[in-house]
Amino acid sequence: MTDNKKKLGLKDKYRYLTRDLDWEPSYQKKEDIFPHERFEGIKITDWDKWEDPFRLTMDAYWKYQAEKEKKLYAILDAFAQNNGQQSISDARYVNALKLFLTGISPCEYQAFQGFARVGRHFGGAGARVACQMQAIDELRHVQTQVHAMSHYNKHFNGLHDFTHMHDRVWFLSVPKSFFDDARSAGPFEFLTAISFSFEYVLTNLLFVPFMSGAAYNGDMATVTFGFSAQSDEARHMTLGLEVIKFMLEQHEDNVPIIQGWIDKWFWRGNRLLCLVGMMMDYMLPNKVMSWAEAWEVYFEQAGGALFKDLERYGIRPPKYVEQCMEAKQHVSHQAWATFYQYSQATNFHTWMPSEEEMDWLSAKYPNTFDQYYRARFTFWREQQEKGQRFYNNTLPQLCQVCQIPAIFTEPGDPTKLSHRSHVHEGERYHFCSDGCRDIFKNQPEKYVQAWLPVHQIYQGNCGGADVESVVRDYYNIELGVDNFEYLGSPDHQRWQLWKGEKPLAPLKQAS
Amino acid sequence: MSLVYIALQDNDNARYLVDGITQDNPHAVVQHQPAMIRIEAEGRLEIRRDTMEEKFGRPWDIQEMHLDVITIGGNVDEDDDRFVLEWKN
Amino acid sequence: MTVNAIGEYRFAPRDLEANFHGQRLLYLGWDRHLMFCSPFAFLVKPQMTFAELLEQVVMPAIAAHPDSARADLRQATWYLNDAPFSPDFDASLEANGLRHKDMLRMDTPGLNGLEGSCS
Repeated sequence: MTDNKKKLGLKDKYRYLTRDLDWEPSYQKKEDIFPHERFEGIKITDWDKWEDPFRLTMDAYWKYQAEKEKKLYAILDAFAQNNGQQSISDARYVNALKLFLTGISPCEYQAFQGFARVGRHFGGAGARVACQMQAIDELRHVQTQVHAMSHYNKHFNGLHDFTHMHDRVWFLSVPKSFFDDARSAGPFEFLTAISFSFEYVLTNLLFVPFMSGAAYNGDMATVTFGFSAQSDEARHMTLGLEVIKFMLEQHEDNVPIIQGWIDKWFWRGNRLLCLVGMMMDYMLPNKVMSWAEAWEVYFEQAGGALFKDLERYGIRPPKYVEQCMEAKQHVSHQAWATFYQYSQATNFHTWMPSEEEMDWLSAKYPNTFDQYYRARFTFWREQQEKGQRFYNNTLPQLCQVCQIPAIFTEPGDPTKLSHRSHVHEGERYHFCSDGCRDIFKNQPEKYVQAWLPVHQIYQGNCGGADVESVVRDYYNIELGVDNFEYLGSPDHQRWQLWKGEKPLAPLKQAS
Repeated sequence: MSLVYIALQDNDNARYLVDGITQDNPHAVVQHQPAMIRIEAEGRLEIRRDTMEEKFGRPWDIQEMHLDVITIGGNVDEDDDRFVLEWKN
Repeated sequence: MTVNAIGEYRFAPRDLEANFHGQRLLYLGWDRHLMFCSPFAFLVKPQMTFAELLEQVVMPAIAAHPDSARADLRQATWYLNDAPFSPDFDASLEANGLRHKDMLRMDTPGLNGLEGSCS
């Protein structure tokens, strides 16, 4: 420690720059200053017990974040200057980025808004500082993602209006409603939802194997923003775990409340992540690992250790977690089949896997792919070769809670769709699972107001009366350019020109 | 025993970090994946400032790690001299 | 249970029948034909007969499936909100007891999807 003598130690510095910046109010009551701290029923007896294990203070935060930004932007510049878009594995890959930009980046902004709000509402200075840093991190993530993808926007379709699409396009109501739900909850539920259930338990599945996959597909820009974001995420995850432990240690009455939130937010996050599953299994031309393998490493193994650790507080693993063991073998195929048949209404392209890719899927999913999905995908490919590319011309039934079409199969029976319904105050509601129905039954007033895209189209609230005008005018998806099949799309043709191949004629787009 | 893990960006710093971590934690397992290196270990992983200073050949602040870490699993305890990941079960 | 909130928390359901301009939502799933990724959500007039529903709405919706040509929907086994149901083909949906946001399932015995995979 000789060279550190004049410097404050980490622990002292943390104390001076968090708790010691706080003061006892003299002319206002604490309850009036932090009016949202009690209505959720969480009891906090001593905010001083809150400690950030990284002991990061604002001065160090700015120093390291500035350095991360410099490294990141140097790489983004190099990527653009060297026409990095031509060095990716295949232009199909870019469709994963379109989904990322419209589905995930706006959620980073929602997370920024959420942390900025809840940081205001905690009585403890340590919690406020941690939320402040995380709010700034999340804002940085949106900005770096938008910057990285602005380069792709020059060369590929479907990336031109991501905020507008996030607010309107049918499948984007899935991530949007997830964050709307969290942000409209109280501050402690928000932290349990986002810091713990989402960041700690689930985001590794998005940012680690998928970003490693981006690198494996030659996308230097995305892997760099991804890992740069994830380096903040490591801090957020640690915060998430500390938040849970802090609340559990403060009062035993907090335990059942937190267990309920963990059950709810694990299930919601699990549903949301089926989008990532399909990105990994179907949208990465060079594959790193399957969704099921990623789930095993980053959820079963890591989550198993976590919940074993939380046992001593009386917390059990999330309700319905056992269903995921089976579901990990199915959800990516089910999600891809859904987007394939509704490609007329998406800002990205879909395609059928090649024979080689199907063999990979069959090897990775030995108990499910050949038995339940291969015939379907082979039939669709044959139809496409006959010029009858399959599109589903109806609208799907959506789950009232997760807002995903009711595409999941019954636990224990992959030949049957899982469907639940429930009548509340004379109105019937439909769900994809017991998990989503439980969430509704616990807070029906919250979900009766859900803005379900299919119902909104039928009510006439999305512009036109037919799907084509909704997609074109209300979603701002350019027909025949952004949507439909990948083969023969303008993206595909441009890629073939870059590679010196003869562009494939556009397929007849059945309607 | 539960596994703790840390994933690092596969860059120049990582060579020294991995070197130092495996020296101090002989039970750690190193996995190379595209663009990243994942190190996992049963129960506990410790990253020591003095070892890293030796590897880098210069003063090294534990918090410099923030630049290269992708993700971690386990309870964190950090002070001026070491960074510990641990499951206590 | 209810929502813990900082004020009164009551909202009208967003999908009341009154919001659909005289029509109703009707969901329909076809057992063992998972090529259609989820049950369909249809917007229907309550005065439409069940026969018209089959010809004008259901048949076009499932036409892309090879089994649809062999499916005799009048012989199908029907379920309304998971209870066995015997439709009166000549009566209106209203007279058949179909309410806003009800869910129909049809089972066509002997038809098991693409290559028997329930797709």
